[in-house]
This record gives sequence, C-alpha cells and structure tokens, in this order.
Amino acid sequence: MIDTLSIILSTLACVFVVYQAVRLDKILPRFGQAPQAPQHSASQAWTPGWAGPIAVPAIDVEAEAPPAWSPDWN
Amino acid sequence: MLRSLYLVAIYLSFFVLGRSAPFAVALGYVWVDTFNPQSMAYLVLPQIPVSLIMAVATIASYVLFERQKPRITLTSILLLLFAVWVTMTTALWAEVPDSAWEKWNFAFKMLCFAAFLPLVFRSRIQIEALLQIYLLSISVHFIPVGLKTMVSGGGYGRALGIVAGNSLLAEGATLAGVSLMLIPIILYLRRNTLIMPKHWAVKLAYSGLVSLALAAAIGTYERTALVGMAIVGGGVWLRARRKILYGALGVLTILAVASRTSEAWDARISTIRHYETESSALGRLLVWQWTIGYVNEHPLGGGFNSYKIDRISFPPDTPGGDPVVVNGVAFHSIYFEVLGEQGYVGLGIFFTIIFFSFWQLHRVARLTRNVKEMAWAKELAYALQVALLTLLACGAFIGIAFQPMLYYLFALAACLRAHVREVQRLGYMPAGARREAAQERCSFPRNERLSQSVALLKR
Repeated sequence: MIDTLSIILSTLACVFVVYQAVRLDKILPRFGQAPQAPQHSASQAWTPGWAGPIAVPAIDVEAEAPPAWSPDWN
Repeated sequence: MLRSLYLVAIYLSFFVLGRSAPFAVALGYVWVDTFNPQSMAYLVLPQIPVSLIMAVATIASYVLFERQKPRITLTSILLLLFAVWVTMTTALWAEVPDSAWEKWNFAFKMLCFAAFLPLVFRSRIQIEALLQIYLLSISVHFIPVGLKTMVSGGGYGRALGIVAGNSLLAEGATLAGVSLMLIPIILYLRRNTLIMPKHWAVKLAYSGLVSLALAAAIGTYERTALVGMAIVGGGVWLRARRKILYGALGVLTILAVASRTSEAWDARISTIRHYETESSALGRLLVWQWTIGYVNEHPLGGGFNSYKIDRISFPPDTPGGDPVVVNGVAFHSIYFEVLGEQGYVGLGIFFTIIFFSFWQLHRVARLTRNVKEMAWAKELAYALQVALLTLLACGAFIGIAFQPMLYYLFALAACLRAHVREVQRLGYMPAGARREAAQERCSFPRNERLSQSVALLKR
C-alpha cells in the first residue's frame, strides 16, 4: 500500500514537473532579462538544431502600425 | 500488471512532453537512472533496454532540436578524462578483467552522461527541473522507508524499501547518505521553486519530505547516517539566517531522536566506539590498509573490482585461535575504492573534480551575493555545497564512487556556474566588488544592451 502510493505520487509529480518545466522554459527568459532565442514553432519549416536559431522576419513597425488618427472634420 | 502498464505510460510521457525540448528527454533519462522503473515493473520495462532507448533519444533530441551553441565546461572535460582513464585501467591492467568490464559498462556511461548534462540544462527552469526530477525519483526509495520507520520503527538490514536486495538505494548506508544529502536541496526548493505552485500545501509537502528523509536515514540503523546527520545539520545551521531558532530546533530533534529511538538503534550506533573489535568497522580498516599497500606496489591501480583479489586476515575470535581469513572484502569507501581501482592518477582526477565543483559553487555564491535577482543561485550554491559535503562524508564509509549520485551533484555545480557565467556575459549581473567595473563595461543604453544580448544568444 505505502509502496504503491509512493510510486503513484512520485511519478505523477515527475510528469507535472516535466510539463511545467517545458511550458515555463518557453515563457520565462533564460538568462537574466534577456529575451529567449526564438524556438521552433509549428508554423515554420523544421530545420536541424545545429543550423542555429530560427530566423524571425523583422517586423516593419511603421508598415504594420494602424494609420495615425486624424480628426474627421467632415 | 496494472503497475507495469502505469510505469510504461509514465516512461512514454517523457518522450511526448519532450518532443521538441531536449532537456525534457534528458529528464527522462535521469528518471530512469534514479527511479529504476525496470526494477519495479513486472512486464514490458524489464524486457527492454529502457536506459539505452532514453539515452539515444536524449542525444538525438539534443542534436536535432538544441539551437544554442554548445557550452564546454571544465567539469565535463574532467569527467571525460576520468572516463578515458577508467577505460585504460579496465582494458590494460585490470586484475579481474571480466568483473572489471561489468562495472566499466555502467561507470563509463554514467561519466559520459554527467559530462553531457551541462550541455542540456542551461536556464534556471531547466536546472530546477533537474533538481526536482532527481529529488522526486529518489523520494520513491526513501518515502516508504521513512513512513515505515515512523509507523513501526526501522531496523538494521531490514528490507523496508521499494526494491529488494543490497545494491544501489536498496542498501541501507547508501539510502541514508543520499536521503540526508537531499535535505538541503529540499529546503532550497521549498523556498525558491518556480515550477511548483506557490501554495502552503506545497511548502508543507517539502517539509514532509525533509522529515521522511530524516526518518529514513534513522530507520536504516546505519552509522553512516549519524555522520551524515552531523554534517547536514551543521551545514544547514551555518547557512541559516535564524541561527538561534534552527539551533534550538536541532537540539530538540536530537533529544526527540534520542528518546524515541529503540535500544537496538542505540546499540547499533554505539558500535562506532568499538571499531577495533566490531567486525564490520575492523574489516573496513583492514581493507583500507591493504589498499594502501596494494597501490604502493601498483600505483596505477588494479582496475574495477580489484578488491576481489584481497585476502583480509581478521584477528582470531578466541585468544590463541587462528586468524579468520576472508577473501574479497569490498572497499567500503569512495576514496579507497577510487585509489585501489584507478590508482593515484584516478584519485587525482577524482579529487580535482571534487575540488573544482566546490570552487565553482563558491564562485557562484560570491558573484551573486549582492544581486537580488540572483539570490536563488546563491542559495542553490550553498545547498549544493552542503549536499556534496554530506555525500562525501558519508561516502567515506560506502563504496559509491561510481554511482550516479555524486556525478549529478558535480554536473549540477557545472550547470549553475555556467548559467551564472552566461548571465554575467550578457551584462545583467554586476556583482559585489566588481559591480562598478561591470557597470562601466555595460554602460551603453539599455535597449542597445538588449539587442546585443539577443545577438549573442542567436550565435
């Protein structure tokens, strides 16, 4: 009884730790306040790990921004 | 049947959860290595090479998915050097070649894996996950012993653990040493965990684990436990902020243990005083004497399990009787085990790894002592120092020089030092006396510093 309970508690805690660690590792910064290097995502074609971080296309802030507000006098 | 299927499901879950995160698969290997599911299941797992599959998956996952530049640590180099040396002693001059190759088989893999760990565990979350999995995997061995000791008392040589036999964590002295070694790590996790929810129940569970670890150590009736308790108690007390409170708690614990333990425990522990006549203690002293004589003739050691050639002559039981000669008395000490098996060169490498691990932890504690954001690293460095010291003190009386426990601590020290070095390199941790110098170095504007950091991480 004690043995089985120990196995169940220990293994469930292990699975929880791995799940949480994988989740948190993607969210939290890795070193100090530096943002994490981009990781592979489902929408991108896979490249091997040794190819280095996946290139993230630069966002043109001005082009993406909504048009500046101007008063509609009419 | 049900237990076997359940353990297979847990085993497979590591592959699923770690499908694109190499460290998660590596956690699976640590789990297999420490928890030993193949020894608890009756079907499937005992029939397949669970460790080999997990090791191949870990390396494959690292090669395919890890996107950061590999980071070579001196600990890894020393561990690999040790792996090369043990291979040489086994292949070239082992006294008992067949037995030596058997031990080499797991010792070599264990050394290589310990050298590999700093490549995978790099961030705070990853290092904590390694600590948590290691603790939880071992807890399955000490929780039942601790609970049974609390309910019905322990006993010397009694099989209270989950795995039968007299090897690894089923052996009383090893279990006592490892349980005590975990106490500072549990206390660290209790205060600093990011993975477990911040809830009073979690803190209570960690406190419960400390009590169970202590109970398990006492329940083994091993004299090694007394040594371990003294080291871990002193270490935790020295690092505690409220020394008077913890000192009083320590005294109360000693009084409670002294009053609650049975006469059998007292009788067993008091044999320490009669080491010259007690056969187990005397056997150790005689085999250590033999080892020193052996390596003086064979400075390069006799390869793994070279103790099998010893002939230890015990004093006669009755005055005037014949001495009792016993063949193949084990070393019962990590230091004499390494000395007798790997010679002075092996012992030199072993001590260098130990010294370097302490040095790394000392550096981490020193560099992070005035940095609020890195207070966790300082606490972890202290916890690992006490854990290492406890295991090294207990190891003086147990032959676990080539068991994974010590090497996980070496690897953890290397992971932590490398993480702090990375944070320093990125300019986020000007520490202590070097604060001004570091600030001067990183005096460029903050957003520029961030973009430099991203560029460094991408490399």
